[in-house]
Amino acid sequence: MRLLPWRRRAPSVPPTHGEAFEGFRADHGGADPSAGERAVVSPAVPWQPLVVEKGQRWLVVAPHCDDEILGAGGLLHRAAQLGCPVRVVLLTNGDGYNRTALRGQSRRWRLTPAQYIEFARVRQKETLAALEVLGISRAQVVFCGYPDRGLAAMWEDHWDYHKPYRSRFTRATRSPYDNSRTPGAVFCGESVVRDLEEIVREFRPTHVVLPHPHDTHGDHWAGCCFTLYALERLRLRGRLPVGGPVALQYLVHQGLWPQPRGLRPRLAMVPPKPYAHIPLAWASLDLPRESVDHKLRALLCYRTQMVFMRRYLLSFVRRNELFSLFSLLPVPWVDDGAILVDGESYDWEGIGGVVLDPRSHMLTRRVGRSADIRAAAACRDKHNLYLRLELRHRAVNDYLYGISLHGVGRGGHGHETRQRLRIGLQVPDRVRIRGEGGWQPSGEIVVRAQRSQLEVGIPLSLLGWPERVFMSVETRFRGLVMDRVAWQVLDFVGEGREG
Amino acid sequence: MIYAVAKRRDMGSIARLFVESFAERLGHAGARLPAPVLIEQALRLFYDADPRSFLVAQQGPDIAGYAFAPHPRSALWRAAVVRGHALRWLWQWPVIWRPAGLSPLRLMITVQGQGRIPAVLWRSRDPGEARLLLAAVRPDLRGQGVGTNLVRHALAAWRHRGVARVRLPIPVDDEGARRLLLKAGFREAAEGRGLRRWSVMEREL
Repeated sequence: MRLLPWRRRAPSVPPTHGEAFEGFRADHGGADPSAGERAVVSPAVPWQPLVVEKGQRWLVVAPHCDDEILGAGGLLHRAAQLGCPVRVVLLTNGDGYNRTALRGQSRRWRLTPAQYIEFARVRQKETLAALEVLGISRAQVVFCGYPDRGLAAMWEDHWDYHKPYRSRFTRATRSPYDNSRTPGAVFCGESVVRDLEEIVREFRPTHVVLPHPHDTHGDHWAGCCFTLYALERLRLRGRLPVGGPVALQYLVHQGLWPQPRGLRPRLAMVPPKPYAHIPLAWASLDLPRESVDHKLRALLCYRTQMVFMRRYLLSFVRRNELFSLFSLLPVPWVDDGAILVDGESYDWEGIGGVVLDPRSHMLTRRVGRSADIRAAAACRDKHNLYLRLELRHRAVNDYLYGISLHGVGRGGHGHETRQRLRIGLQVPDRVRIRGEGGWQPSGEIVVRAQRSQLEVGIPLSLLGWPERVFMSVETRFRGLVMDRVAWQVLDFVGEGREG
Repeated sequence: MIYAVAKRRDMGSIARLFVESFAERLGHAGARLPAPVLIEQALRLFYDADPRSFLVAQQGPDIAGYAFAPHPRSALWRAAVVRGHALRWLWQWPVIWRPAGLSPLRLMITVQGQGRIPAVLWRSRDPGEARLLLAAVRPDLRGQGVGTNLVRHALAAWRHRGVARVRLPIPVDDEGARRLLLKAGFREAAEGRGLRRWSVMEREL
């Protein structure tokens, strides 16, 4: 089957990464894109080739049916061709779908839970057919059956078994699918992490492909968090090899990216423009023509999705696939008591931002400038964690500045400690912690705001003396999320640690 | 221990610590401190004049120590008038402040001098020179470097706010303060006129 308009192609000269990068820079609108200069400029975006080799074991985690093809379809094909063991994990079955996908099959405005479940089965079949095209058998696919558009809520609010999430589509609190990995899996964070842990322990991957934390879709960034959390817990128990599997993150939902839309199989996929300023390490897998062809054919198997977002889906069929390499963000140590929590930055000299937020939405750029988080920096001393948030405009009382921290550490007797902390800040000096009974005032966390800087001191005892901390920052206006900084994993073990 | 700029709400705890730390010393010198609530009101005046002049060391939810390091150009009179402190002070003066022979500002200077008023006033002609620095730490946490850290932060904050030089008059026999200041990089200045019972510690920022 010839689907792609391959007409002329330079004989056996694969596109080099430098070329792709230059295209990116020129596209990015450099002030003076003269050819000579472009050749000299060293890449601002670290860009390295990715190679699939024999002996690697690839685990691909996808939040919905179709994301595994969009993000890593070509990679899966290459791996299957080389005979690498592959496992594809689908966290949800995509049951909360756009009703256009039904193509008028139902006349009811509100669909019944049974119809949603039935639709999920259709999507599962599509997934199996698509992966069959890439040469991946049914036995290599794992459906977890968690609720669509519910992963973010499960990560943030519904963690424990006694407080499950109820899907707004299937109205279920347990997996209603008989082919789920854990039949009747409870919809809670603990359950997802346990599933992923078991899969990793059974499969022993050398490479894990997971969604990107900067993805704007809640299921995607939460899927990334769950996977990293599971890996972190296994590492703490000593169940992972030294160095652990390489984690590669793929981006799917990010504003208008990828541009241009539509089927452009000869163009290179480049990171979204604002990401040039972020120190992410990108890796690109060059796809041979055959893999691109197979990726397209696999994607066309998703008929229900092609109905309403054909151009968008097809724009992921490019001559390369793009991943960013996951890395821990080390938190610098400072002398005990060296930081004065005053909202000023003079005592933070030499401590760079750990998290940069590339996104500036129309809303926060125009209306709520005070809600736009530009960067966050972190450092620690022996007893406390210090955070500094930089906003676009001065901090105002209208917004709730929320900091979410999940600490993972090694407790006594071989147990690991987990502590989840959600902090709500309102200037000038209102600090609350989200506990079991709702928001409670906290006197131990110190916050000071000065113009557009917000500085926070958090005792590490509240986080259970962690080794790694998952962190995210968001601003809310009366419950509406205005801006959110992607979840990052902070590394607390590092230079300066005693003992 | 978290070091931070104080909030207005912290003035009560600071006043209690103030009384706890200085009442005994002043008792030796024959002076008597006003009631804590009045001290709190006096501290509020300073807070309103210069909100960033109070630094606190916080352990858990409690204040473990504080430092008072006002900028030499703090708008004390304006805050006293605009925020109503002058009126309150006038009201209280005949009954409370006059018998003690104190005013809010005099109170702070007196404490610095252990019951005596130094010949050098805390306000100098030079707008870039600071002359008043008070620090106190809860008795059970002394000797752990909390005071040193507070003084260090006070100096850094002063430097950041454009203060060029610090000259602090301390009583000749106050060994604790001398040691703390020497540790923080101060040196003894040459004695000036009328400073027989005082030594002046100074430091360029």
